[in-house]
Amino acid sequence: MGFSKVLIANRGEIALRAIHAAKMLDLKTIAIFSKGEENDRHVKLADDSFYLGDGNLADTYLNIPKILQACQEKGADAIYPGYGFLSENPDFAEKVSNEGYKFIGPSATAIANLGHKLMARKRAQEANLHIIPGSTTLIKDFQHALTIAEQIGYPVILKANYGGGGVGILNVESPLKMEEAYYHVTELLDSVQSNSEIYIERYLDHPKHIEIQFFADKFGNIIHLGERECSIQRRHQKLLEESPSTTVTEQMREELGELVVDFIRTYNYENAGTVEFLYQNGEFYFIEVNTRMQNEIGVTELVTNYDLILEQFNVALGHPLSFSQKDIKLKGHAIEVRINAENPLDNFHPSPGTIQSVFLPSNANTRTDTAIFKGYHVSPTFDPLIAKILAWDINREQCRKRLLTALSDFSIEGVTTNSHFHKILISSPEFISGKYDTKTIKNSTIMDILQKEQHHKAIALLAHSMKSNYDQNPYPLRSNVNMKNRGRI
Amino acid sequence: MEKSIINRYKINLNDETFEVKIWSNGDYSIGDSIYTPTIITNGNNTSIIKIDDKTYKVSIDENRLFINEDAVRFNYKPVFSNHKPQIVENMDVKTKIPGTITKVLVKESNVVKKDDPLLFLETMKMRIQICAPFRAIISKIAVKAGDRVDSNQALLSLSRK
Repeated sequence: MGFSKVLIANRGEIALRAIHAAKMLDLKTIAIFSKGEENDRHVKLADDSFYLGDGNLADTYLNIPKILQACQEKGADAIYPGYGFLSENPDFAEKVSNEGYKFIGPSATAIANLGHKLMARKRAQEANLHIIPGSTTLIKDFQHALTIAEQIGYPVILKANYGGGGVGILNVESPLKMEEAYYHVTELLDSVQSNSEIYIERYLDHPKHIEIQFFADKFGNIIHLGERECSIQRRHQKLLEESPSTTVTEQMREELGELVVDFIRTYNYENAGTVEFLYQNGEFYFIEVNTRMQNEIGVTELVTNYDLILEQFNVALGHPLSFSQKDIKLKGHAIEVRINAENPLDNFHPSPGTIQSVFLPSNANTRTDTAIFKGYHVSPTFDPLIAKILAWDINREQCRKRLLTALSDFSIEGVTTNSHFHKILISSPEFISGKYDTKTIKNSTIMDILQKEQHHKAIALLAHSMKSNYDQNPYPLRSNVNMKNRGRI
Repeated sequence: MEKSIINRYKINLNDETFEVKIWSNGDYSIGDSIYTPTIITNGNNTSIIKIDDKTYKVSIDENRLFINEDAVRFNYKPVFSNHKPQIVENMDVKTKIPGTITKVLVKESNVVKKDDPLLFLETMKMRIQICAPFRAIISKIAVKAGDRVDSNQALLSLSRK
């Protein structure tokens, strides 16, 4: 079961983490890359690399035959999938195993069974987890959708049975909106993942998103590592994560964690995974299981003090988990913000480009997970996530302040990012009090403040450049002195 | 005293454009929002400008502009008040963001209403719908599904109808 040469089937920050973990264990690594990524950090850091060629993702990072060919040519005996791309594709996991390579993650069967969200819902309910009221079967057609929605009561949410990343989630307010929504979601799913199966759940109007990290080894040890709260989202994708959640007490953590462990035990699971919940009105509702390492594990690493990527390799090598349930005590508080190349004020639209300069913050208990550098091209082909900035401290308020100073220190030229949005977000009363949910970005004044500051900047620049361009100021800018009188004239 | 507009500027700040009106009483406005800037100090290349109790340090260093130490891309031009908006008869629909065309929803010689979707562009896992800016006839389609496009590339041409 051992292995010595790992192909890293990913890119960016997670590929770097995997290469670091492999080096710690004296394993050799192979990076894969597509056109334009020749100088990327993961290619430089790995022992060897394989060129995937040019083209869309389907031709490169999602191309199963090509990745298997890379393993064969380079003599790899294991594959690390990371997150996104092929990480939750049971076909990939199965082919990897059939070719005799170790897949660093759960078995193809576990991925397939948990990836079928409707089936996972059913089994979660059997394991005493609460589920949101919804359909018990897949939706056959638009008429069926109407009937089911009528039974559970509007508003409802249409959800993809497979897939993630926020694609194919749409809420429907009333029967009148159902036809349009149904065809929109199914057509969209057809075009992006050629599986348009959907089911229906009741829509929760102000839930928190809280998830439990778990880890399992092949000896039947399953433990949970507490929760992360990831309620700050746009387009159903997370922007900020923290651990612990302000909502979860020690007792809730223990109870929910035990239920998660019992549920996962029914799957013959190996390696890392996450059970996601929505929390509203004092109740946790199971939504789905992610059968991979998640993007936001950094906050869990900071409060537990374990390297979870290294642990993935350990478990895959056939070793027992290096910690037991009683070793897991969440210490202090950690918050992570995702720096995306996007413009929050333009509907969070992506902003690809080439990085002209970048300064990454560093301080005690401050961490930046990234693979960018000056000259790095932020490509429209990939996700807009370019860096994660994390802070840890003994309590939440100290942690928040530490993160705020880190964000003030972060600077980048060449692409527009959401770093200023994050500063306003973590300074908002909603965030400070912990009383925020998945609707906070929409319902709070955060976006108004951001817009106003943008106006301020435009005016400040205009005022400044007029001052600079004319010896005599031709426009009546106020000075401190005459300001006082003006109102009385 | 009636206040009047004494100047108007179009400002582009990091690719976002604002129209700023300057009023005779010293107010500045963008859309419905009115702001009253105060210059606190004004060195040669640096100004401290206070608006709504927030302070912004604006400085120029080797022809680069900074606000509170963040570099910004910035330009402005006056908008003349006697300027009549020109009616555009023909235009190319361009994309601001590079990406891949996933679907073209119209055909040449189709007539579309304002805000009708024309095509889908996918970039960084996001699907963006590009819509008609006015009622028009599609005179030319320059792309097809699967094409990768660059920023400012013309996707299709419209004639007002």
